Amino acid sequence: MLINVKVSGMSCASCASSIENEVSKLTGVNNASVNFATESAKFDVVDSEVQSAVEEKIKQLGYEISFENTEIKEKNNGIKLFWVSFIFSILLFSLEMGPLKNTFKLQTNYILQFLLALPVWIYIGNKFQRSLLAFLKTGRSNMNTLIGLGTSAAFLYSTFITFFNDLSISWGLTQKVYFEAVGFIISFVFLGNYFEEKAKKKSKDALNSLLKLSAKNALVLRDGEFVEIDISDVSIGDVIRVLPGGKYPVDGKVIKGSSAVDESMLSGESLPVVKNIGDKVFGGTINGDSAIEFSAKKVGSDTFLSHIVDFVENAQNNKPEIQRYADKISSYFTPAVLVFAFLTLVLWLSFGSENIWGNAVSNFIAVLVIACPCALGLATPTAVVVATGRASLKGQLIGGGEVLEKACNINAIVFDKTGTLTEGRPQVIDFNIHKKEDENGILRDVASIEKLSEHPLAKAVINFALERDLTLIEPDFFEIHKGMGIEADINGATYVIGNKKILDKFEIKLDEEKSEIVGSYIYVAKNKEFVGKLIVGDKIKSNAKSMIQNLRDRGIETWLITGDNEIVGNAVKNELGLNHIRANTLPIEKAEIIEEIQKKNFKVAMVGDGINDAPALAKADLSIAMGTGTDIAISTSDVTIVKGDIEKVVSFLDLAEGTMRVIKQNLFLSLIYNTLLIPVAAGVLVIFNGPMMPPVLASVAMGLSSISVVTNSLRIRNLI
Amino acid sequence: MKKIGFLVEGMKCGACKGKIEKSLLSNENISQVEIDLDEKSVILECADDTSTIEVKTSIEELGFSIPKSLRV
Repeated sequence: MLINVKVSGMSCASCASSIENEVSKLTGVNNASVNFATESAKFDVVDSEVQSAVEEKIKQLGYEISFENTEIKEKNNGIKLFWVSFIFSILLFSLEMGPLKNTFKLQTNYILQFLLALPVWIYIGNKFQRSLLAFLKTGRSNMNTLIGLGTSAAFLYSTFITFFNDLSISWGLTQKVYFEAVGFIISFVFLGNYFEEKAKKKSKDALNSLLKLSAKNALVLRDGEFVEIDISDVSIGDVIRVLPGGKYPVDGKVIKGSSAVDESMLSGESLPVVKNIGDKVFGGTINGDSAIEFSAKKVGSDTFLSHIVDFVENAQNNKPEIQRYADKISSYFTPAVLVFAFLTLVLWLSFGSENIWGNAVSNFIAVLVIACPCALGLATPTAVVVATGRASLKGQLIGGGEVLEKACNINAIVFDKTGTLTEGRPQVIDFNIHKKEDENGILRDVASIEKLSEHPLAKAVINFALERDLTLIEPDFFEIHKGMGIEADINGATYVIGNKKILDKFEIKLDEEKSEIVGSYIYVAKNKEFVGKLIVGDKIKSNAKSMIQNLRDRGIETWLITGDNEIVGNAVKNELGLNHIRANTLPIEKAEIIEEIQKKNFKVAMVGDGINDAPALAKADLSIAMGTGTDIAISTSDVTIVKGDIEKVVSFLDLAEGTMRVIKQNLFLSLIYNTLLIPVAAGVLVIFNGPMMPPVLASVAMGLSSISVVTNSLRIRNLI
Repeated sequence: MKKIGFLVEGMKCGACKGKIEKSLLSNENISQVEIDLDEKSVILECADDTSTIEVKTSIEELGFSIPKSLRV
């Protein structure tokens, strides 16, 4: 069974990876995945007994868990604690080197500073000192341990000087206190966390706005009257009324009325969709100008909106491969920093020339404070969260960081034809009546006669006539000639409609220019004389051509694999300018062809409909499922394009490339911060007569590194 | 009043005949139905605004097929 929980109290990526490691060690846990950026965790456990063991373990490690995974909890006392500790720090600063410096005797001054620093160190900085204690007990370290050790070292050193002054002089300790450093470090860590939280929350905006889509109440028919009830009390089969401009509370089928519905929040398509009796409606969409009554078909966690929310939450927990390197680095990071910090201390004590103890302690603290691996931990998850969340609002459901990463390596894309590159339903693509006949008159007669037929092509002709607002009439006499067409009397004329064979049968001379258009030809003869033809075919989507061109410009090989014959397939291939084609293929053969292409060292993406092309989609390196016009559903593919807008293949690739670029920038930024600034904090510049880095500045730099990484991730919002 | 005639395939016996008669006469536009099993013909007398296509569909829904109409 899968359990999803929220974990709070994680300060950096090493917390996430230590929870992962510890929980995976428990028997009965098959998989553990913890996301620091979204503060959520996913565990695959054998039974509920193991589940409680997992919960126990997480609490034991010092984190809190909760199951409310709907609305993201606001916790905002961080900023209050910052202000309190900042005011204390200002007082400390003025006593140490500011206006209050000479107001008191030195001893009194130090005692005052001690009294001001004590609450900041032990109360406000409680979580840092707790994790220092945990480190001493268990040897497990994280970013808080570093801060805890740094501030404790500063505080205890200063306390010793304050209260055991004579002893400290005899030991040769530098007569300087670092109480103000304790205050400022803790203040700036809190301030940094606050901004980081704010930015992290912003990266989750998309998911929150999906959650906000669902309505709270529904107007439900109860005992002959519509009453407003809570959405959780709606059950399947309830009749629900939606007022003009109102929100659909759940999924269902229209039983009364007709209205244009704004479904853009689910499909990304801005044009409203007209809903008539029998059509499906979805919770979270917004009704147009007239009231509709519908019967509830899916409620609660089963609605399409809930499925999207689940999908996006899972996607945001899915880590790209590159993240595993970052996680690995950060799990070695804190222990390495501890070693480095002690090395700094020892080296300064051994080789320092003046103020030996003061410089040693100050640099020791600076190294600990600056080396937080937070930025490294935030680099990938925040980018993935922003990308998957934003995409979900634009009708693209992306399966997670791994998918974005895979998409960047794709160099061949295989397309299915029907429903993917074409509209997927037969329609009249060409209509011409020559001679001096009235075009609409003939069309009306032909469509009226086609009503007698059950042939799929007939429906296309009837729809074509209805689209022109023609009113159909009744034929007087008819005869259906199987496999050929229909003969009928209507409106005082005799028509023969059908393929070439029926014209031959009635000895009607076909008199037309050769046409290049691929499709089913319907010839029309009136009173034994050929008057024109209709061509029914599957129309190519209007933006398919520019999409293929774009892919070719990127150097991606494009393939068309279709079950249709070569004539139909080639027509589409040439029209769109695809590189290769395979016609007459069965669904299972499509998978084999993909394998062949893969053997030629191509990374292949397959774009098709989720049902018929399932084997091929499974075989491909990256699967993209196209939703169809009326039925929107999430498939198991890597990417689902909710409504079949083929152009989104390109915008998805753009997003994937952009996101990976941001991730790499983030990793670069955070590694640079850490590797360059740690030696500076250790005082290396002193060797070259440069300055030392005071601990306070180190804490400011650390905060900035996280903020710059998260801010960089937020730029992804502009990519889609 | 007008007459509509169909050639109906699949009628085998009196039961089929009865089924079609009953179904057609339940339509208030149709006043009389004549069925000839040998000729496979169904001829009905009905109001002028009766739809040929609707009648055709209602017979087809009973499981018979209609390849052509009859001139009556």
